[in-house]
Amino acid sequence: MSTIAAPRIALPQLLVRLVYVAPVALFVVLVAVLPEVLSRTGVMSLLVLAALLGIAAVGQTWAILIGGIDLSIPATIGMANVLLTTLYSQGWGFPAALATIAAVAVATGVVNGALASSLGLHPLVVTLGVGSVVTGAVLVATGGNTGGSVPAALTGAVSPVGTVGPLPVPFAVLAWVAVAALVLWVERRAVFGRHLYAVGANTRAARLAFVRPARVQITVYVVSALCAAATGVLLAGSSGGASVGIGSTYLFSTITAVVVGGTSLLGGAGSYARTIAGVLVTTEFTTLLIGVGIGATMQQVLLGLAILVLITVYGRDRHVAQRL
Amino acid sequence: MYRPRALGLWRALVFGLAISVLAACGGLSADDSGGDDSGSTSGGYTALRTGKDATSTETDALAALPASVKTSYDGFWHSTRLGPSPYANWTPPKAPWKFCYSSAYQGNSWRAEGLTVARNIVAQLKTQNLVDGDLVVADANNNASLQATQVTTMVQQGCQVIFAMQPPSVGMCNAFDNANKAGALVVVMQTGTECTNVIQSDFAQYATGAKSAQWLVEKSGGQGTVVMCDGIPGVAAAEARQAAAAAVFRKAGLKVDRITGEWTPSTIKSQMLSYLSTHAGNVAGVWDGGVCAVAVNEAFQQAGRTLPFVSGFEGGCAWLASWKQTGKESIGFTQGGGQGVVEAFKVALRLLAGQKSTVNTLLYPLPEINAGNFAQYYKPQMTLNSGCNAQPLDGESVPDSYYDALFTGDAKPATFTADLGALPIK
Amino acid sequence: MLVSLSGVQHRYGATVALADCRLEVAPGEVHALVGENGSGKSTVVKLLSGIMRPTVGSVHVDGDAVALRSPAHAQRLGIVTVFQETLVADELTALDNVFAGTDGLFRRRRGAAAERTAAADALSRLGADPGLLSLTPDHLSLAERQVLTLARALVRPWRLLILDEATSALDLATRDRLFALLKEQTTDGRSVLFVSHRMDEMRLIIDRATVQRSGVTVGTVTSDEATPATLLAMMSGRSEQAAPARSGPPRTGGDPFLRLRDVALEPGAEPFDLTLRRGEILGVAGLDGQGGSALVETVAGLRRPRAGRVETADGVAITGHRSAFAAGVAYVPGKRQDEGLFPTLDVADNLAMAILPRLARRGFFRRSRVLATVRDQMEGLGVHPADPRYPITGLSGGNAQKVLVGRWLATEPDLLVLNDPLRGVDLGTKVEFYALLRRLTDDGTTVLMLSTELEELLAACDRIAVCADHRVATVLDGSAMTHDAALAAMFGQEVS
Repeated sequence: MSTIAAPRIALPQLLVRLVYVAPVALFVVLVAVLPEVLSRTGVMSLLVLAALLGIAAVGQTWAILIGGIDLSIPATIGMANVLLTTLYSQGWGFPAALATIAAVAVATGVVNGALASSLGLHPLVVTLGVGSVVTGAVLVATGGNTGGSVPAALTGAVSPVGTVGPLPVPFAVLAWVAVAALVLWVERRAVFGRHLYAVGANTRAARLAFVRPARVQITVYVVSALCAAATGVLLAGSSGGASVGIGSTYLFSTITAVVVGGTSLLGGAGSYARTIAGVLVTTEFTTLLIGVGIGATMQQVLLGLAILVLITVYGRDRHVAQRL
Repeated sequence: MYRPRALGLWRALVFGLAISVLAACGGLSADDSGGDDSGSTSGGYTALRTGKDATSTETDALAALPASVKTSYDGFWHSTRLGPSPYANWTPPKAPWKFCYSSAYQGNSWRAEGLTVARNIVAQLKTQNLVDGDLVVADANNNASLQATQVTTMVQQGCQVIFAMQPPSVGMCNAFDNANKAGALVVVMQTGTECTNVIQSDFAQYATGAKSAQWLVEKSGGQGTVVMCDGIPGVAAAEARQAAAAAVFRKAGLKVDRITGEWTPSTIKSQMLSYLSTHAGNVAGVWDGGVCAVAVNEAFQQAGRTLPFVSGFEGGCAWLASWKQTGKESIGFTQGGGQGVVEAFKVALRLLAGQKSTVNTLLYPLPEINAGNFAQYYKPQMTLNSGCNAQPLDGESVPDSYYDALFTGDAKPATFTADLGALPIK
Repeated sequence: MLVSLSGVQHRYGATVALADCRLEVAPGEVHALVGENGSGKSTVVKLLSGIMRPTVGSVHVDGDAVALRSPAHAQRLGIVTVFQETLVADELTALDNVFAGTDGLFRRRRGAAAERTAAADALSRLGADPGLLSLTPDHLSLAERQVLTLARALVRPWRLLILDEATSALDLATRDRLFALLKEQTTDGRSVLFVSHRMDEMRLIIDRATVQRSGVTVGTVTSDEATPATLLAMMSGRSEQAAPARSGPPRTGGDPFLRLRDVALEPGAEPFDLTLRRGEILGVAGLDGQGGSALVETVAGLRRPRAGRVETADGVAITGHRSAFAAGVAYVPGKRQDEGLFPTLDVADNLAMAILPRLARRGFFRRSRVLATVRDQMEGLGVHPADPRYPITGLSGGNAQKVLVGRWLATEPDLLVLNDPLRGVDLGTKVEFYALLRRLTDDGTTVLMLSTELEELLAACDRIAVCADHRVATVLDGSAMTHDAALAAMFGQEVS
């Protein structure tokens, strides 16, 4: 309505940019409080945990970027985890098991995206429902009997002392770096990447600009399911038995990482770069809390408080943008 | 595309929330009144004192128990309300009986094993013409109100014996009361409950937790720091084990750090890795409150740290494989899902035969797995990712005669073969 | 006076919608309110029905100043409004729609049987079938929906009934019955405020008419004086706001580029033909809801005509948005905020969105290439500030509109369809914009531009297609293209 150009507000912009400094600053704090962290295994432990979360959070970032959300991530993680151990111990080859998992993940994503776009249902409902179906189907197929074995290499992939060739870095961390590079490249340099933002910012305008929101939505949920499945496979490298519930913590933590990074829950603003910062910050924060002996229940309370504070900060920025 | 409808959705959510809050309030107040029947300490039941010390009421109740079972009842107040049997004046129905099985959740190997064993036993009883129809099974998928509804539905279906596998410890009393009043026998398995209108069958949570803690004290020479790997906060079984271990460590003068593993291997491992990367000091031992040992061993190995003594708990096949792999001595117990079902059936069949139990809560000790009998328990098929549990060498947790001290009457109950050893190892 | 406004002003932000309004509705009269788009008549209706409150001055009811807090408040005072938008809830039955809002949250004000009787009575007095009441509105025709909204008003205890273009969807028989009913019901001192663009039908019923122009009340005349010629003359007095001067004489245009043949925009609307010529700027005028938007959306392929064909001179049929785009038609939507801008993105992203697929190779693009295109367009359009990374929300309305036009110019269209592009844009930018359109047509591009402001069309266009009753009523060009002629055509009058 108003046609008057308002000046850009510099302060919230600055606060939002702070997110890229935060992981470094928090690491400095972490080392100052707990010097033990500054060792190969200390840093790699942190990075492995961050990598598992970071890969799972790719889809959550994009889902939130287009104004949706993916609540089926934990179910897909559990599906991949159980399917891998079950199939592998039944004598399937690792590649064949992976292909099967990928196929199930793609199907999950297509159903999520197609239902959300064609029926006009909110992804909150759709992904919650699809997630339950996936978990239920895995339980029916395995009868809840989820024991099995995994390829030995998988254990090394998520071990802080694991290596890839001559590199003293576990596979999971390298995989995250590769995934992150690809995701950032797509976000910034691919037509699809810009379409993500267009759909999230204004779906009607996007459609009028010949973006196909349904296609974007389906692709996002497929990518999300594939990334969640990758995390589920990597989690199988941690011994102790597979479980359909293994991904349960990844619902809260992926959303936390995205929100802490500053990607707007309203869609259209943010990036995976921010989520990377969010993943590092939350992982460092959790490590710090464990290090100083704060229990898991209190950790959740403090993380929740941190989110509220950040949403308030980012929320202000968002309102400034909307007011113009 | 969905935006305009999102408004409707939110409205629906708000309504749904309001309704569930109302329903919850209704449920709670109903449960309160149900609880009032028995009273907090009235009717001869002790209070539930999870994570707290005993008062004279509890110590008196403990002292009044037969000597042969007393050790298993130590610390009972953390997870149960001890008192007289709510089925003291119950006239058991005539065979054949309709057996029903209400599980809080069926999504893991442990629960799957429990159900398999229940089906095996019912099949055996069927050949003796003691069973009406098939075992009726319901899975509440971790939804407390759903499980309450399922129990009520089971009563309406004519279930005469309802086995409730690990129901939530609060909020179920009303449903159990319905069953009780309809003349059905309810046996709550493998957990404590606030309800006094059911028969409870559980292993000695407190004594078992104390036993592994005591072992760690001996192995560590009573010095240094032990890490307690806790279960899900607020769950009575976890709190009982932890209270026992904490008391042992306190008495021995050991320093205790705690992580919260929530009985989930992935959480345990990430918590342990984070703990190790922030604590360079020597760890004398790690106490397992459930499911921890394998993930803890792996975290120590991958962090490049010397493996300390790590206790086990539930005797998982993966833990035995891990013990074999590391060669580091441990201690654990056989606590498979099937084993618990076997004990619950023994109790139920005595009551159905017309015997009376002297108490509402029947606790039994678990066979111990230690360096002395490790070779008998370990099987080469066991891997670090196995989902199975070790089974008692004698085929059951305690001999049937264990219960003689807790029952009156000499009617002969129906029998079955537990056959736990025949369960697959995978 | 039953209801009166005197010296009332209303502003939306910086926009003055109503500068000086004087309106008096006497008891027992049917009073017409007339004016073209932007004259302030819908603002008057909103003030009287409690949707908005005046910035300066107040509404008087029975001589007392009242602050109408809400439509419900207005209704309690007996002011009931029927709008042109047939606002019905599709999920309720027609009966429930008639009584929607009269009940409390948990209690019906009257019994279900009494409600049905009252609603059936209202419908039969309007000549409609009371059987409609059991249907849900999605089964009803436009006319039946309008009858429903009228019934909804009539079952309420009204003293002033406001009909805001609420008769245009009615068939003649129903309209006559409504008029008869109103005549009968106003004999006891109740009044009607009648807003309609149909001057002929207006004279059948009104006692007096008040004319609005550019937010100012021009005057009130009696029924006898209210001939179409008088009313049009009152409406068309030169507006106080300086109209932008023409940049050159109208042109005749070249070969045909696009043809509409026997196109009917709405079911039952009269079909028409229209030809767009290469290099011309064709304006689209008409009162809101009379077919202007439907026409431009049909050309852009966003709407399927109910009958007839839209095709290029080469015979390529336009059957959808994508086929229109493929045929060289680019559409710049009207509602910038809702349909155009990506508020969270910067100028470059906003401008390049439609051209990205063409600049990309295998789905990926080079940033430098995109920025070059963006800079080109920004320079050509004179977007200020000239920074591609500037947030789009930081731009003025005019500059944001330039970016949106740039989004489609970058695709190098043959026909640029603009849906009211200059709403809320300052005069300077408008003049710049006309020059830009002229440059485009010099290069052979055709422009189809809808505007709600006649002055704008007169200043920018070579020809003007005037829409009334969901069809192109007339196409004005050359010396016939005058304000008076266009206004008369908008109100369904012959050009005098």
